[in-house]
Order: sequence, then C-alpha cells, then structure tokens
Amino acid sequence: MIPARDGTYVVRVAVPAGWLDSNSLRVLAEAAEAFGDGEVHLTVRQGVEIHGVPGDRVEEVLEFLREHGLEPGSTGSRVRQITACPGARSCIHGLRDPRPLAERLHREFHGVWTPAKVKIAISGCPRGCPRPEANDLGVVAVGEGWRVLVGGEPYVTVGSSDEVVEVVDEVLEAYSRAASPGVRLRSLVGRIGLSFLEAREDGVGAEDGGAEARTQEGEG
Amino acid sequence: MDTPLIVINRRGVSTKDVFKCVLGLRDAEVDTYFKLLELGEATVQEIAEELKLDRTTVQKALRSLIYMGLVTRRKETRPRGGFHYVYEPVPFEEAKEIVLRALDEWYEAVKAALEDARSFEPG
Repeated sequence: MIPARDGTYVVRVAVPAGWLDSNSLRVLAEAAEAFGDGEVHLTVRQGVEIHGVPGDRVEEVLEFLREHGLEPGSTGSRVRQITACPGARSCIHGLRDPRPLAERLHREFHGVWTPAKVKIAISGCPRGCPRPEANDLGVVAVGEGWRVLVGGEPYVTVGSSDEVVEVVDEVLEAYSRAASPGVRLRSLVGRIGLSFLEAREDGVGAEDGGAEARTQEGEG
Repeated sequence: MDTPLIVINRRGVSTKDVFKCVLGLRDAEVDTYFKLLELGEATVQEIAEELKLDRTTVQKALRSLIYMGLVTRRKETRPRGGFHYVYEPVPFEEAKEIVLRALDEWYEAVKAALEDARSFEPG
C-alpha cells in the first residue's frame, strides 16, 4: 500500500513470476472497478497496482484480494517482486523456462526483510533481457545450470533450483550483516566487491562467464 | 503541549507492538520471534503448528528475523538422513538492545531533520 499525492492509496499486488491466470485477471478487474479508479498499472517489475483506492477502503480491498488468492506486493526494505522472462517457453534463445525457479524464489523470499529493497531478476539465457546484471541479484540460465550474479558480479554457477535458493539465502544473510540500513546490495558490491561473501570453489570468474555466454549464444 | 499518542495509550501498547513499530516487523515475524522465546528452540514445522500459520509464512518470517539478527539457526542431521534447521532466538535482552539502538537512530535522524528544517514547506 503506497500513499498517492492526491490522498488516495495505491494497492500493489504480487504476481509470482509475472504470470496471472484468467481468474486472477477477473478478480483484479473487479477490484479495480469496485475499490479503485477502474484501471490497473503494470509495474516495471511485472506486478500490478490498483490506483485511486480511498484510505478507508484499503483494508477491504486487501481482504477481497486475499479471499481470491492474491497477495499484496512488497514495498519498503524487503525483497521485491522477482522478475523473469518467458525463456524457453516461447523464446528462440531461451535455454530453460525460468518460471518454476521464479515461483520458487517468490515463495521463499518475496517480502522478506533486508537492509534495503532487494531486486532479483531471472533470465532464461545469457542474453539477459530481464537485466540480471542491473539487479541486486541476477540468475541466468547457462548450459550447466544457473549462474548467480551478485550486484552485477558473477558469483557462482550451480546446477539446481535448490542450490539457487541456498545461494540466495547465504548472500542475503551476509549482505544483512555487512550493510547499514538503506544500503542496497548493488551499492555494497560497487563499494567493496564480493569480499563480504565466502569465496566459493565453484565460482566462475567474469572472463569465464563471458566465454560461456558466447558459446551459449552460438548454440542458440 | 500535546502528549504523544504512544504515551497516552501506554497501557494499550504491548512489547510486541513496540517491536513491530520500531523495527518495522510484520505480525508473523514478531509472533515467530516471541514464540521462539517461549519454546527456546524449534523447527519451522513446530513453529507453524504452534502459531497455526502455513510453513511458507513461517519460513519467510524466520529469514527476516535471521537477516535482522534476532534469530540464529543450526543444521541438525535427521536420524533417517538429510538435515533440517533448528532455530533459536537471540536472548530477549539482546533483542531489546537492537530495538533501543534502532529507536535512538530514528530519534537522531528525526531530530537532525527538524534542526535542519529552515521553514515550513507545504506539501
């Protein structure tokens, strides 16, 4: 819930992995008509916002959305909505479908407290349309698994979704210990590199990552 | 001079409310921390059953509390193989220190902002 300048409120709705089924779309349409100004805004992070909600109806609209299986989207110093491309579902370059991993990371981390907001993007191939390198955490499908970028820097490549969850958890814990309130993960990495993280044997260097990316593109 | 609301309603303000307000915690998070204080240590499943919350909500609440420094975890091997985490709260006195520090930081920041304010700016 975000206060707007005109005294009304914006109710942000979480959209796991950026997918909404037809039923949720109907619920959103109904909510926008009944409680908001009849429109929804598609956020830059693949979420949905209902604008123009009067202050005294905010609780009511949240209740209505929950009843229909929709959760509020996160704001403030928390893990924000995870963005992902459709990957191998529909893209000629896609190596894998990022949706199951995006939904998993949403379940495990969306809304979790962090020293400042944390943005996570998942790309289905090294071309990186969801801009994993520009997010606090980026996860990129590569030939042998998922490459995790921390603050734009290649950190590690792992084979399974379980391992991605473990790595994200470790990174967020180390970041929370290292950063003062309000310092973004990306800023921290810009300042001190990855020195606050434990070195990993399976880590890949930036140069290896580049070579790998080129191989993958060649195969596509 | 008007007395701040929190002082007027002092009797209605619980320790949980203060933790929520000062640290910006959610209900599930503050409930999880206080449940852990009561239990001493527990697994996600145990806390979820005690609080009648779903496992995902408790798992996320625990992550928030770990990142915030209010809870620690250790891996424990299961008798039949594999492992699970056991969560422990930091002692209440330590948590109180964290809340007091956050309150002091907030007070200093608001005080500095007020002292720097030169005039009334509408909007």
